Amino acid sequence: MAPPKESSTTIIHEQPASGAWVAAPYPVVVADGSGTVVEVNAAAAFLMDGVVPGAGMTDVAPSWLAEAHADAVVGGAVPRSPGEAGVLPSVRGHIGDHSFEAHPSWGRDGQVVWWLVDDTGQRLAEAALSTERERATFLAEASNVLMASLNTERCMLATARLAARYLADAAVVVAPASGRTMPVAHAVAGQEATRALVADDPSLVPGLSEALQGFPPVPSRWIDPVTLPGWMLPEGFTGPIGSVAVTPLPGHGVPAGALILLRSNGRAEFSESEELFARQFAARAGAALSAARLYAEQSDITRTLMRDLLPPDLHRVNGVEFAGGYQPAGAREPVGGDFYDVHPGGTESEPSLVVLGDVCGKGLDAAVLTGKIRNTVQALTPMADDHQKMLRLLNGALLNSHHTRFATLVLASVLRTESQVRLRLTSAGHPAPLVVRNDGRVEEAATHGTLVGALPHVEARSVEVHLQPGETCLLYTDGVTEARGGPLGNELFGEERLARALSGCAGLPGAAVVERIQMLASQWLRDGRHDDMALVAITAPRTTHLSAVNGHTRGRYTA
Amino acid sequence: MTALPHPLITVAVEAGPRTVRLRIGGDLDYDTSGELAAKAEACLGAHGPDDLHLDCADLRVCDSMGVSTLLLIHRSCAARGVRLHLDAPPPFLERILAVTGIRHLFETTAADEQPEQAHADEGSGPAAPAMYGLPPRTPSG
Repeated sequence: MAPPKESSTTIIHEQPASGAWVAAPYPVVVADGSGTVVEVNAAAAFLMDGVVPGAGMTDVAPSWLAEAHADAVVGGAVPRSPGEAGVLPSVRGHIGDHSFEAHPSWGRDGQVVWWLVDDTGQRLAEAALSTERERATFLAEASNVLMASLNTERCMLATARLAARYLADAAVVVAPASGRTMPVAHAVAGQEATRALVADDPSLVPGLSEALQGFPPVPSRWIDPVTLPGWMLPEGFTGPIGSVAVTPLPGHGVPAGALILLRSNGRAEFSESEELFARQFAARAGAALSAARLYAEQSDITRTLMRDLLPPDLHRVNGVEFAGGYQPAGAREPVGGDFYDVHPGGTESEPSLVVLGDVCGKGLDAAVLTGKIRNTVQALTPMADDHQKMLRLLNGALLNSHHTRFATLVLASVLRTESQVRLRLTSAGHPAPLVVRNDGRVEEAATHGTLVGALPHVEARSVEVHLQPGETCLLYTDGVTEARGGPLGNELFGEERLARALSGCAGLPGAAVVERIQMLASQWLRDGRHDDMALVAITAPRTTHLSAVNGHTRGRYTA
Repeated sequence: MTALPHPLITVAVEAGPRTVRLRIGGDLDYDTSGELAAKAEACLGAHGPDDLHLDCADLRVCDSMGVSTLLLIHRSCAARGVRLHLDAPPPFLERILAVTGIRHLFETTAADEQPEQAHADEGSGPAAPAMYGLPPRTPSG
């Protein structure tokens, strides 16, 4: 029994306090300086089994609360009067599934009153918010990484690496099969991704072949880790697999592949929100992968086309010098609407056929038509002696009821006879070839005809021209004469300027003529835009007299 | 395209009873030729004229796609039995038509005697476009 005075004080303090605690919506525990529970309200007793007056805090309370109490009574400054605010730090911890914030305050005689506030909901909301922030950051980063490359392989590797780091312990990206193998990228969290080609039936993995088809969209599938084939496990991934998810990578109308997420045994299975997150990631990765794949296909097609369409290197054929030059309109499009070819005669006594032309339009359409014309002309070389017939057949092959895309071209049959070169020239709607004589005269070949590919009938007039040693016949496309530039910036290079320039090239080797005209046209253009420019020079080589008697009689020539 | 402050090409349509005239101004090239082709096709379909005039007085540029479009309009006119006229072609266009060997496809009307409508008793030249022969040309060499 406490002394009366003391006890009266107790009553004054305890009675209203106890009543308040009972009614308080929060669990309240009062413990004294020795760590013994003094008082408990019903809410606290319900929350913590065994917390009754007289029990030791360390025995019955959660350890974090018991420790906080011990700290408070040892380190805390006990207030001299109940009204004095002694500040004690709040603590946080779990009781069962719930999270609590415990707010201490001083009671009488160095007792500490613990108010417990359930903050589970707030904690969950905070955790969810921070998870969402992390995911948003990750998705933004993933988009940056994935969109940085239009290379399919790099894109697959990046997808696997990102997925392994954020979504699982390991990830496998499977691309749709090309031929009988499937490109695969493996990644283990924290390691570099690797790629491989796998020859296996995707239908052996449940859900994989559906995911690879891409459409209709299928949900992620949980599969039994036991069914996984060996190739699915990335190198460096040890330990048993706990859970596996197969998620399709949706592309732009084309299947982009499938993402397989692996988690080791110790880790929790994928939650619903993690699955949603995985799908959000898969959508980005799929978009990036299919963009990369479309780009790769397109650049493959362009490369394939271009390989055959690039202008050939020209050299001396059957005693005649050929030189060519080609400047496409766009630096990024090495193939354009101009073209030239030299088809050598079978023997020295058969003429070689030169064709130079210009196809209307630009880009891939023009490149395709160019290829068609070059192939057709090549197939028609056996009748190279009849230009009119060649042009009629070529025209028939190109005619199309859908459009009137046409080509203009020049055919030249070239034959070396003794020291001279004999040319048969035919223009089909093309600027006539120019001939540079040794004395500097420049003549336009008198040939004229209809463009090919747009009209039911074509006609052309051929002309025969002879070149003496050192003389050159230049075939060109209108990109040269229509180069806009000059001192005022908007003047055409024009035929007269071209003829004057050629006049200055008298006696030069063919390659030098081509280079000089190209250089002058480029100077004229400066940095201006221009159309494709193609040039072919046919030159009768200068010969060396081996046994000339007086310089006028015929000797033997080498060339 | 026509929403640009300075349109690259202008095609003004003047439709008479039996004659349609398209006044072409500006650049007829890769970017604009589709517009002319569409307008010409629409006029041929809507008015069913005997004569289609392309007035080229204000034409500044004609590239290979422009030539292709003239050929397309010519093909369309030939299929419908419509005479195709090229009025007041600038010298550069004349040169292009001469080099490509297609000058004869278009009937010419000199700039000073442009007929407004009636072509009832026309006797000048064969009805286009039956002839594909070459125009006479003197070699310059």
